[in-house]
Amino acid sequence: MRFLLVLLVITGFTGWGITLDTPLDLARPAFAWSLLGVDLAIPGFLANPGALPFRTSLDLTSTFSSLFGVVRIWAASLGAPGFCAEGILVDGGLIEPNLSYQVWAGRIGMGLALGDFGLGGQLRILRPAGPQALLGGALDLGIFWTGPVYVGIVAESLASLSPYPGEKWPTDLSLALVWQGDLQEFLGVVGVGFMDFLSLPTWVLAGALDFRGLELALGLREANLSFGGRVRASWFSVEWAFSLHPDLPLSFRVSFVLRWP
Amino acid sequence: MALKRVSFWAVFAALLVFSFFAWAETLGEDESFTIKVSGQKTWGIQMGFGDPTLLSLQGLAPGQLTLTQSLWAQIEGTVLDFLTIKASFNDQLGPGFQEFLAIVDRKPWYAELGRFVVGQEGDALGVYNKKVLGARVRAERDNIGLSALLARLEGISESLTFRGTTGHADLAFHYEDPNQPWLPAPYLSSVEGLFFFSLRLPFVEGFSKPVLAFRLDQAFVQFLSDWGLGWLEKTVEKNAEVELPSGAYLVIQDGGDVLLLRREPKVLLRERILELIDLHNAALAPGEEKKSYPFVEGSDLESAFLSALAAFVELRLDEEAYSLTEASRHRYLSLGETGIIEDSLQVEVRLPGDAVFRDLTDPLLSAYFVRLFSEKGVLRLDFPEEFFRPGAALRVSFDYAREGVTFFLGLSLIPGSERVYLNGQLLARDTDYSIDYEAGLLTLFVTMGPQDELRVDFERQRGALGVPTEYERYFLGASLELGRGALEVWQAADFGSPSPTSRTMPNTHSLAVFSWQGKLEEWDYSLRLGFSQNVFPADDNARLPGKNKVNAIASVFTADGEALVFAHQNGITVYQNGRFSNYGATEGLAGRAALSLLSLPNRLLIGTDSGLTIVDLSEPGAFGRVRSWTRLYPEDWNKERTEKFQGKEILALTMDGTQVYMATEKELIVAPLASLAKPSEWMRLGLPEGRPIALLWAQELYLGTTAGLFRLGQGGWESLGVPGPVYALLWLGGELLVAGEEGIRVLRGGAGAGWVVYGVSVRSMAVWQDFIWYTTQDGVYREGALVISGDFTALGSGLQGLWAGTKADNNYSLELWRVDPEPQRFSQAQTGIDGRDLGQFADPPPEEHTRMGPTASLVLSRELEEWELGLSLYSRFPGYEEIGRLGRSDAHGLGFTARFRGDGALSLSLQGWADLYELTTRPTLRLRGGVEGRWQGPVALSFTVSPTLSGLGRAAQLSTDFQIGAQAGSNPAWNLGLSGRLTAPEAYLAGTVSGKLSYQPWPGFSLSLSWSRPYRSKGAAGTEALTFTARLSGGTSYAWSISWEEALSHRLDQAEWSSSRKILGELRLSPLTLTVGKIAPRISATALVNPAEWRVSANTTAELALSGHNLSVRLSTGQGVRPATERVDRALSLSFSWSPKNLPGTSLEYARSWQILLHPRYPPQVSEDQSLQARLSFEVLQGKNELTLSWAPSGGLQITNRFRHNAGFGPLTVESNLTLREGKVSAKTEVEAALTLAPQWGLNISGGLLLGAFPIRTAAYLSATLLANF
Repeated sequence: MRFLLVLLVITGFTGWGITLDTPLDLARPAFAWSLLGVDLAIPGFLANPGALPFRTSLDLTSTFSSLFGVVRIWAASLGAPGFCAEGILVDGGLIEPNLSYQVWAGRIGMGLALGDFGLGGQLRILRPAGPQALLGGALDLGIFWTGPVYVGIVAESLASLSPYPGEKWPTDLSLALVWQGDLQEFLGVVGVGFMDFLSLPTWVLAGALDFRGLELALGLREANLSFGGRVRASWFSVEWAFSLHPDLPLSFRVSFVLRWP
Repeated sequence: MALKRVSFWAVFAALLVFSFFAWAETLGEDESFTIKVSGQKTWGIQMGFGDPTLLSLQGLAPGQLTLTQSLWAQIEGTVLDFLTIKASFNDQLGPGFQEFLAIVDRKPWYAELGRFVVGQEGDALGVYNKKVLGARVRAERDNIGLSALLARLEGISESLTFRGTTGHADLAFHYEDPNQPWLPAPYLSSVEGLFFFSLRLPFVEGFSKPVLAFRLDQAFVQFLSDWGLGWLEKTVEKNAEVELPSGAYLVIQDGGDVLLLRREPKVLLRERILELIDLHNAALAPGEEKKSYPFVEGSDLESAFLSALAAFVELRLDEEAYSLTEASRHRYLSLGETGIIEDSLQVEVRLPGDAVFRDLTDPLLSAYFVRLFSEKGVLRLDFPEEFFRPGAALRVSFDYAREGVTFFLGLSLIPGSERVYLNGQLLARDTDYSIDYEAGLLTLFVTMGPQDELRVDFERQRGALGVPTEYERYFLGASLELGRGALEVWQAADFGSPSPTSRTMPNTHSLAVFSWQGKLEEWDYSLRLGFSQNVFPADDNARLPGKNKVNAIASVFTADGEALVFAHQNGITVYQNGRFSNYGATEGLAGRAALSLLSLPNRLLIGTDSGLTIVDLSEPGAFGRVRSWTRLYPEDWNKERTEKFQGKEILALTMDGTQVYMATEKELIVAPLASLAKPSEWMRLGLPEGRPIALLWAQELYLGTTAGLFRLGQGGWESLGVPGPVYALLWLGGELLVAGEEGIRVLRGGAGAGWVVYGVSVRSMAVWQDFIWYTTQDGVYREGALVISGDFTALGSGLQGLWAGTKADNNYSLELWRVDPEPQRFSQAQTGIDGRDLGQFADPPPEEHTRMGPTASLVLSRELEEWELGLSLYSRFPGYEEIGRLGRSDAHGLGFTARFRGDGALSLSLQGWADLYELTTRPTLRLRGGVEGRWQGPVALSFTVSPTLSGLGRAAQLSTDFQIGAQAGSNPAWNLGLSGRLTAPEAYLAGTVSGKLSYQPWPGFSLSLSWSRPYRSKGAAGTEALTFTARLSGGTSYAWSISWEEALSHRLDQAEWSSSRKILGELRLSPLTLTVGKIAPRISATALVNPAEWRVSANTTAELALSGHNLSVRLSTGQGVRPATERVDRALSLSFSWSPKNLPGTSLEYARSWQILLHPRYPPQVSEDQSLQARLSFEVLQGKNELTLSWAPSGGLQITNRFRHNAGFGPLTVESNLTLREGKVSAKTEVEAALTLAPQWGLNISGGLLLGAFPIRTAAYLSATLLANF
């Protein structure tokens, strides 16, 4: 029963099933989580390898989330100008004697700036450790453009190897557009996104306000609403996000980010 | 619903974005940014090596890396002078414990985003302290205010009321289960009562211990072997007896001691067998196969086993043995509470076959008597034996004494959501009460009297451990304020659409309120008009269950003979040897609904909505054996397959002699008979058009679907030109009979050859006695002739007859019929089949489940000299409900109040009300009045008279509550009171006269006498009580006190008084100075005498303060006697403690106690206990060392040494622990160092060694935790 509950929590929460996306999406840092995918077109976030060259700082992010006390997710990610790496553990714990659910996942991404464009690629790895030890991975491509409107496009699974025999990870495409505005004393960001439009197209609307030290964000993905924020100090920041889903109870996550400089 | 959700969120998002951008124009003034963030982040890693058992005590597994982390943060600050942030996060707690609030305060705007509280007392909402997560915006300019709110509700409102020092209970006892009348009532609520034994020897508490014992003889060994449990014999021999747990029985005195079983004997036996199986498995060597309970719980087979087992089991008590089969019933009921107040007991009886409940005073019940054992909460029934038959029922209501000041509210309370009222007055948390939200316990600090009422309104978490809910709930509202008037609109709504299995409909509760306040001449007025609409309220939101129907009927041959199996939406029903038995998913079915059946030699295949079940029929009692059932779920079908099966519902089954064909909703599965339980060998074939309904093998494979009839050929499925739906297929004499919407068509050689019946939809067919029988919506037909009317869905033959099953009617009544020979109907009460299909629900029409109604109120008030006058009119229709408040009413009326508040000693208040209730159904007028006065003079006088006249227009009733009191303070102080109630027209007067006198002749000596006597014009007389208390205390250089309390009481209908007394004495001597120090002795003694017991105890304590040492010695002794049971208990305890003044942290404590139980019939029982603890603390190696030794016979010996040293890099702690208990040794040594890496960074490293013996085991672990403080 616990195993089914673990699966139910993961599939119900993400709505996408147990794919390579699942642990990586579950482990997103809190502030990025609240943007629900629009962060593909915002420099400084790790979701789009094409945006990596436009990062200006070195970040180490630690995220922990407990989904309804059933599944725990640990993630640590490193983001640097042109580079990112991430390690994730999704742990359903010991379900029964000799039965546990555990998935390790990771990502390495690199990007190159070509004028206003950024081009990048990332390798995603999935290693379910329990109940069976398996290995799979996929290659993604990301494009980013810093024009009057920021545009981010990510093509996922251009090449892939699923750890589950007979199961394929189809190529998918996601697009986000973001407008940034300087509203005197604070910055505003509004974006729209079209996620996974080759398989399960969903639209996203998100926005954020940056009070230069405090940021608040709000995201809407169909019936899923999330809001979050982050506070930046000199060498660290704390991020949080609440997510409201019509079919699931309230969820919460918080991240701690170390930053240089 | 999806569009509503999308537009709802879009509005919400736009609202927020607009709100924020609306301030843009006001920015540019003083900018400030002060945010304080504090907290701690940790990352930890742990690893263990060695013995898994030792490591599991540390929460580790060998070789497995364990990650830990934590983050808590407090954020507070202001941005740009108008945005305030307050947040508190802790990722070790759930979302409900995270706090976040962003406040924007910039005139004319005010907004909140995050978690905040809505509702004030008196708001139209009826909500209060309701914690929500959402957004709230308000704009105010001049006299106009506009606000909007959108939030997610996190709790469900509940309310509990506790009256005085008593609780109230209403119980019902039935012969059958009221919800499933075909089943007997659960044991504790069965009118048949508890199983009981009349004991042959008196039961003595502490000595008499009932034991459940097996009678180990050859017959029992044979019995175990006969039932396949021969392997349990050795375990039973070693564990033949077990003491009955104290919660499983109680003993009452009813002309001798009677032992009542709180649990049914068969449950006790089942639990005992399960325990023995666990013991057997625990003793197995590794690799040996473990055993499990072989019977399906609740099956006939298990029932037969337990009934036979009872003959070999005895209850042994005080050298007497009682066979379990000796237990009787039909006498005692357990009421579930103790301390029942006799006068409050009310009993009503419903005789078998009767529809109404009658009071015991009914002439029909002249032979029915009850007797209450109030202290134990047992009701004895002296009823004729013919009462205990189907249809019998009993209703019991009573009050019981509630002890203590703790009230249990249940789990998952929302912190801060409670409102506690004592007699209508709101109490303050931590001052008047405390509440443990996790345990759901409220502890009252104020005293609650017998007449007081405590009401607790609170919220319980939705979902999880709280209230189960199927929807998320949101709350939105808006209000407009114009000067003195306001218009508010609110809505609380469930989000989501019901799924096919949802049992409730989503609720939408809307409310609109208009209010206006003002002054008219000297009168202040407040007008309020409201309207509410509640669609699918919480008590009227049930969806309509589907109707159960019989899907298939098959005959099977088991080791016990032929049986008939009926497959229906809730499982299967087996008819064998004249009895019906039901089996569902709990017993072994793969799914909830049984859709198809296939009878094979020694096996039965059952196709369900979630897989296949195979029942092995080769053993006797097959259906009752766990091992007879094999479930094959779709996940099991697809193991080790590359080509997966897509379906899960097995809609039709057939066989060709070597292969079984199973039609799912997605494919046709072909399974060789020899490898039915090996799905990896099954084959998958496609399906033609339509959803499969019927399968038949008749030289070829035929499939009937919703689209038509198909035949499987070499090239795949070919259509036979018969349109769908095809409900049934039958092969008869070389011809194929096809039942469908138009009738029964005959096909010969694949071509049409006429009709058996035309123009009617035929659901099922069978050949019986050379006739073709078929069922339609109207009945069962035999070749055109109607045999039985009804909505029949299945036909089958077996047990030398033809059988039919129906679909449940609108009353959810489902029947089984033996159609031929001699039609016989089997009702639900016989078959036990639930007529509701609990896997499918339909939406009821909202208009039939909507409540709406208005409310209005006008309140006027003014002051007139020394009077405060008030006048109010109100009207509230039953459809009006406030959001968040429970309860409705249909009440209208007017009332007045007048209070005199002079400066003198007199205060007076008058009030009157005229209320009209149930205006829309059965109008009833009630007039209420009240006069209350108080005069403060040398004697304080008070009086209250509250008459109420109700039921005008029907059966009018007058009831007047009155209270008169007089009291005088100072010394002596006294009070006298008379309270009561007078009712008419059936004149009844009842009340209490009471008084109290207290006198203190001189300081240190006080006397008090209190008296109460009830009076009533009829009914039980009650008890008169008199209590006398004397206290004397004194002493100058020493202190002493003595108190005597004598309580006398007697029932007014009896002359004999019973008394109990309590004498307490204490002597506290002033410290005596000795040459070596000071000693302060204290002596106290207590004596208690009451009819059931007398007890004496004494305590002596001496505290010595010697030069450099503190010493304390305590000696206490006591004896108690219970004359009725001749039981004597004696206790002696000694404790000693010592601590040196020059060695702080060093101490020695020793305690020893003895208890002796004596009884003329039993040998003395002596129990003793002792404990020793020594603690030594000293400085060594520039650190502090603390050595602790503790020992107790039950806990063993434990030695702990803890050394702390401040090293250059940070504190270093070494802790060693050695435990010796029950011959086993365990030891642990842990070294922990806390390193300071940088001003805000730390690293804790620890490592430990674990040792266990015997056998000797070792383990080690390492952990490191990085901390960042900010």
